[in-house]
Amino acid sequence: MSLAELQRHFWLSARTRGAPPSGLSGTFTDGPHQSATERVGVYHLAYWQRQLEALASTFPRLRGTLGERRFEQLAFRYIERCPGVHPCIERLGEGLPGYLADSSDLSTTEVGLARLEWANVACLLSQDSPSRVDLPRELGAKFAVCRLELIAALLVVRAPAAAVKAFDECLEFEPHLPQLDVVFFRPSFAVRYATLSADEAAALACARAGLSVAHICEAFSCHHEDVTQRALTVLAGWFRKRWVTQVHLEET
Amino acid sequence: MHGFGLRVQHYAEVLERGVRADLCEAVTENYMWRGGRPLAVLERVRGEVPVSLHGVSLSLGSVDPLREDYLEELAALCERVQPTFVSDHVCFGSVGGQRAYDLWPLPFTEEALEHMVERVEQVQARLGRRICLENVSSYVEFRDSTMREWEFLSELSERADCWLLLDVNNVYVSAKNHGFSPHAYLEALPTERVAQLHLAGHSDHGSHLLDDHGCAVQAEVWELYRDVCRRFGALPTIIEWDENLPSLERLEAECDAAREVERHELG
Repeated sequence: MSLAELQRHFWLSARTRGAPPSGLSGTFTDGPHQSATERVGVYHLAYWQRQLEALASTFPRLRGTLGERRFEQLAFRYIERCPGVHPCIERLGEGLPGYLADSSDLSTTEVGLARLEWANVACLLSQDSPSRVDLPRELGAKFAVCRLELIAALLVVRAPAAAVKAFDECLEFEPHLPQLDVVFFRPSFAVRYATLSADEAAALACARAGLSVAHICEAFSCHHEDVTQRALTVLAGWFRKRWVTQVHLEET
Repeated sequence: MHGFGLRVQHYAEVLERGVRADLCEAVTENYMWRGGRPLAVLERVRGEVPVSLHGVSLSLGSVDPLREDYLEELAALCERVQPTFVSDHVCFGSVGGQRAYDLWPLPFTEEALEHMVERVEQVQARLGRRICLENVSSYVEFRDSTMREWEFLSELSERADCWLLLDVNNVYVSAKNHGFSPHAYLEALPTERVAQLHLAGHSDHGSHLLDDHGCAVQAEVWELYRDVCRRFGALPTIIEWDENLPSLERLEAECDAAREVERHELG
């Protein structure tokens, strides 16, 4: 058997759901106290268990909501359908929210909870960026044509209100809203998160799309009489919370 | 020199009071493709003691192509940390690009040996330095194997011109699981190629020993370590502990115990 064939054979033996297949003694030898199949079973158990533990660590609230058994079934289905491809096991859960949205019988609340939990981890894993903490007042009117480059460790997730409540019942939001935008950010080591008002979420989307400050400010025009004051308050907050890494002045 | 593997659970304490060891080892992948606290901790430790980078996902033995993005990240991390050693395992951990998240053993065949030599050379050329290769603990043996593990490692280190990271616990675990003499294993290794040592605990599952790094180093492994010290001399030694992780003080005490064994054997 070639090295490639043997590795493929090992892979299939370790990945078979339930237990390793029988009839492995053609490839592996029996040991002093175990058959070939039992020996492969050590790797089989480790394969499933290690990844289950990794997913449980990424999605503790989803696990709590679903219960141990249901979470385990779901995790095993995911591992079977979407084997990890990233060298770091902590990224194994990256595809789980999408997988759940596409293929499972979970509720939208549970899928939303998975998305929030992954965003929390993704934010933790994001690259560091230096940040500016003050509005660049020295630019004066030119600030309107600037683009704001946001830090890498800033993510916005839209999820059902019930999912946000399940993620953190202390988060404040208007109870009548069915969907909420939650921003995750990491100014230094710890991830923080908060719900966003509709106008701030829209403004942030504009900033992430690379639009100018003037365009960003248009997001506030629908909801506030004093657009300038509202825009200044929100944008100053972005700087204070260290969401902005660079201010790019677009010369015309 | 004696130290321990840096683990997330100790980060806060390490940041607060530093480490009391001669060196530390960091699991490479915990510091790749990311920012945040881990790198700050690693740089703090690096400011105090030499640091080695120990990988688990290079998948040197896999027939999959080496991942260029992995090598790029690893090279950048080496540049940043200036590690004393860069190590990974004699194993494969991916098939068709899909990860096992485990250290799967290779058959000890000429084909696997040639493949490993080529890959190690590729990595060493990319990093511009020799790497260290660790023997894994194993639970299976392949019918196709044509040589013993120690022959494979000896040939590999000579042909690829790399170092060996001898995991003493893994030698003991595999010896018990496969019924060979751990002392014969040590005897056959080229002394000048062994550059670094690992010590760890294992658990006894009746039918086999499991290398779970879940307890203190057992008496039998300490005994083997005595033999290692006599054969290979004083080498940088790392205590690995992952499951049931104890306090930093307990880990440091385990380092002291290893230092004492070495002192006793070598005077």
